[in-house]
Amino acid sequence: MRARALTFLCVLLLWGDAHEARAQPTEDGARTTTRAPLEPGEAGSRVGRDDLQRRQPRSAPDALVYEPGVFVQQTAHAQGSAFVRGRTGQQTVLLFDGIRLNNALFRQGPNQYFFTIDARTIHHIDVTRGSASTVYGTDAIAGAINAVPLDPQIGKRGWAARTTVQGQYASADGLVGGRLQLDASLQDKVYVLAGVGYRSAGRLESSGPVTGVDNDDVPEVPRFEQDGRTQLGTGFDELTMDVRALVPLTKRVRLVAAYYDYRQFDSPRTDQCPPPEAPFDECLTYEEQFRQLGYLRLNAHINPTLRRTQLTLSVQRQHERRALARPGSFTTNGGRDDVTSWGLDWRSSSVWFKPHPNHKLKWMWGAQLYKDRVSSTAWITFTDNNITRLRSRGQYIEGSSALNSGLWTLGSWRLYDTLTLRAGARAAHVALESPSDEESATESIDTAWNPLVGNLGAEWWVNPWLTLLANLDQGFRAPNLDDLTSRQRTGPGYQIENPNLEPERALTSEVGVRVSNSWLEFDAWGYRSSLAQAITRAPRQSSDCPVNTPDCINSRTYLQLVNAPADAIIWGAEGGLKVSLPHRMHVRATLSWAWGSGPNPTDATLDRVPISRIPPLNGTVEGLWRSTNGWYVGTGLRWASAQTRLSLSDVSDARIPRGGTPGFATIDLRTGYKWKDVVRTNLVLENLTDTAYRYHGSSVNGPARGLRFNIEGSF
Amino acid sequence: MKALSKHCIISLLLLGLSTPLIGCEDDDPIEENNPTENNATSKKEQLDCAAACTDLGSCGADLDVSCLSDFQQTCVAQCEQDGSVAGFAQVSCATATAFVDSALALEGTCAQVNTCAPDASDYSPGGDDTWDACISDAGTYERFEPSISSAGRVAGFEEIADLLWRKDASPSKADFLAAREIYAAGEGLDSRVQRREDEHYPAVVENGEVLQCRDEGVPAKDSDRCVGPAQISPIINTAFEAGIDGKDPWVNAAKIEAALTWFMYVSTHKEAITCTVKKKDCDSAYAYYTGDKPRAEGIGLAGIFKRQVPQAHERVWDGLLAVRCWRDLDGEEEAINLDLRDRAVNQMDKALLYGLSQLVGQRTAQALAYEKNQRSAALAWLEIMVPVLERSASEINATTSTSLQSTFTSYTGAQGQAESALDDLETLYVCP
Repeated sequence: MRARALTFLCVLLLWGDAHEARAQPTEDGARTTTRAPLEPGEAGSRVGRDDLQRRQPRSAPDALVYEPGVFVQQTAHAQGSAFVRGRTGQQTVLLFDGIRLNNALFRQGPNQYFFTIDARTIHHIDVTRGSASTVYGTDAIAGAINAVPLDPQIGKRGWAARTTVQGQYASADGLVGGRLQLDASLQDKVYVLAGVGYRSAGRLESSGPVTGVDNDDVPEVPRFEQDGRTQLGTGFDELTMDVRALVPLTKRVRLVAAYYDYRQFDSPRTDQCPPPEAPFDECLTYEEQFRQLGYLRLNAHINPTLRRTQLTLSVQRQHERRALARPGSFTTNGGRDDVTSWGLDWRSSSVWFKPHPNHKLKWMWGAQLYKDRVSSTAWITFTDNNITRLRSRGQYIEGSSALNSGLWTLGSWRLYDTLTLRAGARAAHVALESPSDEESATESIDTAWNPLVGNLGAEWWVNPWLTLLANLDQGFRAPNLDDLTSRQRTGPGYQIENPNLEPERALTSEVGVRVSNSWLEFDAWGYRSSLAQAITRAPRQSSDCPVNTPDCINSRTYLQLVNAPADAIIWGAEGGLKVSLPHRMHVRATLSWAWGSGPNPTDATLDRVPISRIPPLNGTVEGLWRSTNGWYVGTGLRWASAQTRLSLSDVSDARIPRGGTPGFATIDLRTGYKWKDVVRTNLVLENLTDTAYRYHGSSVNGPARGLRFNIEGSF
Repeated sequence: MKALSKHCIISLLLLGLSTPLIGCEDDDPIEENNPTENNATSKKEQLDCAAACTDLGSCGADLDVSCLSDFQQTCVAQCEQDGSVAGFAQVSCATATAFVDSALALEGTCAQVNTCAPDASDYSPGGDDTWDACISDAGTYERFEPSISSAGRVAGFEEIADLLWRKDASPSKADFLAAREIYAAGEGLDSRVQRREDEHYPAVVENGEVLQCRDEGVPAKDSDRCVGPAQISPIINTAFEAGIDGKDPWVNAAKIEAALTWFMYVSTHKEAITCTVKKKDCDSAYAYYTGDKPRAEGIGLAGIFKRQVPQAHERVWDGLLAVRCWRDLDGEEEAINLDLRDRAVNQMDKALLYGLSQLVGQRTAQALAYEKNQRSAALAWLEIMVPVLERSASEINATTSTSLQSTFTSYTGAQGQAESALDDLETLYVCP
């Protein structure tokens, strides 16, 4: 196997010659706070390294809370899932350095996987909003989020090394963490950035319970310690390790070899720790939540047609080990799910060709192939007898697999340097296989789909500072193994599989306006996203529970994934504004609104109902002043209105207060200092008004008034 | 009425437990039955097999045996075996004894027999009562939700019963392990035992604040209110642990049986009370008793009552319908007619307690008749279930309650103790 890989690598090395240091955004994707950096003409935004430093997010998802069109839900203290234009989980694509995190086990609704990126290793995060399956393939119904890691920064210095020690503290959860990082140049032949990190967080103190809208009912989730503020089911430990090596093979070819290892331990799922109405000591804990990613990448400038070529071979392992401990009955229900994903990704883009003095053409191409293999098991342990019994199946079926592949192209045609038209298409092939399990009456799966999608776009540069945009994008999501084979307890109830699901197909139409000059950056978008055959949870009866599945029949609510008989539609608008004021002051604001409705899952002939967990109207305001000597002072305001439009499953979801989630506003103060490249400190005084708040759909209330502190020293 | 000898009573009690029939002594005077009396189905009469045989003989058509309880079928079989009745017959046995009445079909359908005399304030589906017309009048339970999760737990009880105490042989270690897996299933019996509060007792209050039994340290403050975590769960856990280790399988199976019976009784009552604020809890009350089965069937507690105390089964059903009727007449999201609720719940609870008392009486007799393991099992069952009656018994008659509890404090299954216990039970609990 190793020999084959080396041979493969050698072939790639012969492809081209030089390449720049990093796969940069396209040249017209200037780094503003509101423009889409990955795909020109699309709605999107970027969180830069400076933003991360000032905001001091608790996690990678937390880094997105100031982005327009993004709303971050937290099912647990150590989990976070970004809603992009009202959709999350399987309906958005998560990437790390362009490599898909999405795999065949991504489940309906929010998931924890973006949390498995160490925010301290991120250089920036790009958010693409709207359907984007032409470039990103399956799951890109509502957008894509790409976390791009830090490269070695040391530059050409022969033999050199630079060590950075970082420490951090947060008062609300007693978080203590640190990172040791080495940035080295090995005779300018190899550049290495390597680090190890650690974080340990205790229970998260909030500002108290969040009651329902128009009532004083305290929801069952989360539960509190006797102080009424500290949330049970919070806290976690985290170990990270990463190595990234850049090898400039020629002036135009660069090899990247990278390995990222994220290990999270003992992270309770807040809404199940304890479960609603259960004893205080009952707790579902992710004992292990690991993600290990290794990849080799070649970046090359081969010729004008293949100006930027990137070929990536990756292997990623996602590992979860859960335990639902019930000390009152000396019982622990355990489960382990592993998925190993091999990936091969190629993409190239041309330069702008000028077939005519007033016409320019540019092409991008790509192909992906990801193969997932699943291992899953479940057991029950009686701790007093010290006996463990294996279940016939885990949450998934042992030995199941998925293939996700596609070919795509995207062309741009610029006329008179005023109007740019874009069109693209993807042909995809998705195949799933899963053996049967007779004891649990699980059917075998052997199915495949070949979706075709495309997009169209227009960008009109009305004048040097005003641009109007319009896009029509198709998205698709083929059902994955979670949809077709999983059995699991979810927030709204027990969910059983449906092996007969068909792919979801989305169509996003959007119009936007951009204003950009020396002191103002502004963009605003309006969109309509329709989703045909939306995979949604429909209520079922106890008689629908599979045999030998007592967890199902004992549940209060029974759900099954079905293709909705009519389109689910989300209307929305979002925008961002950044103003540069005199005296090095800056103001940034965002606003997001979404309104979704879908067919009634119980009976399509009934009135349409709200889509689950659509974020309420929400926004942010940030202010920043920078001194000339390294100091800065800033503030951050986040707010959301109440969300009372609840889907049927929302109503039975203990995470959502009765009547809906109330609105909130919370404000942070930020300050920091940087002395050359030697010392950097950042301080955030969070939730100054000690407001009890919760992002709609979350299990966890926001942190109480407190501070977050970061210090870094380099030598 | 003539007195029936204690020996005969105990012997007859055993009929309901599928034990070898111990016939009454010839010189024992047999009490005459009077079906119009409120205690028409007292154990003295219902267990009078000899009288039953006679009465059955006076009936004129074939008896639908499927309508009979286990006890009654045993009795009928005994009659057949004795040859005292050649071919059972019944058409409309208007003059039949209470025993026969409780067993036979009325107008050709399986018995919806109620030989107890309800209180004037009780709800009586389809009959004369003081209640307004309501959804229960058709005699069937109309649920709020299409599915009731409690039914799954009662089905789990049945599976456990088949593994542990409904088999002829001693349950094995593997049986206990399999039963514990059922018990510990997600959202299963264990999950509800852990959180069960007994609504017969006031909520735990400390410094003016209502505490919940699920919270740390609260069960220790009030083990009566926090009956699940403080009392029932430890019994079950200990019994499973010992059973899986192969210790005293009969006894540990009986303990689990008793504890789960206790749980289902408390749950039926609890859910009826909390239906005040959550309508679907009425469904849970119904399902914790019936297992979501119709009146003529029934699993879990309903199955036990139907087999062993059929008249109580009928009255519990009426009580459940009363609860549903109350929630129909009081349709507010949070109920406001709490007087009507209390009437309904009390009607149901009275019937449940009567049924439990009858089970205690039968098990008392069993303890006397059996030997060794089965005797120990019966005693273990009684050790758990007799205190369950203490609260209600002391409310009915404190002196008799004290006597009953005193008897069982040192109960060994001796005949004198059994006679005393049965007398006390009969005094305390009448067919409602």
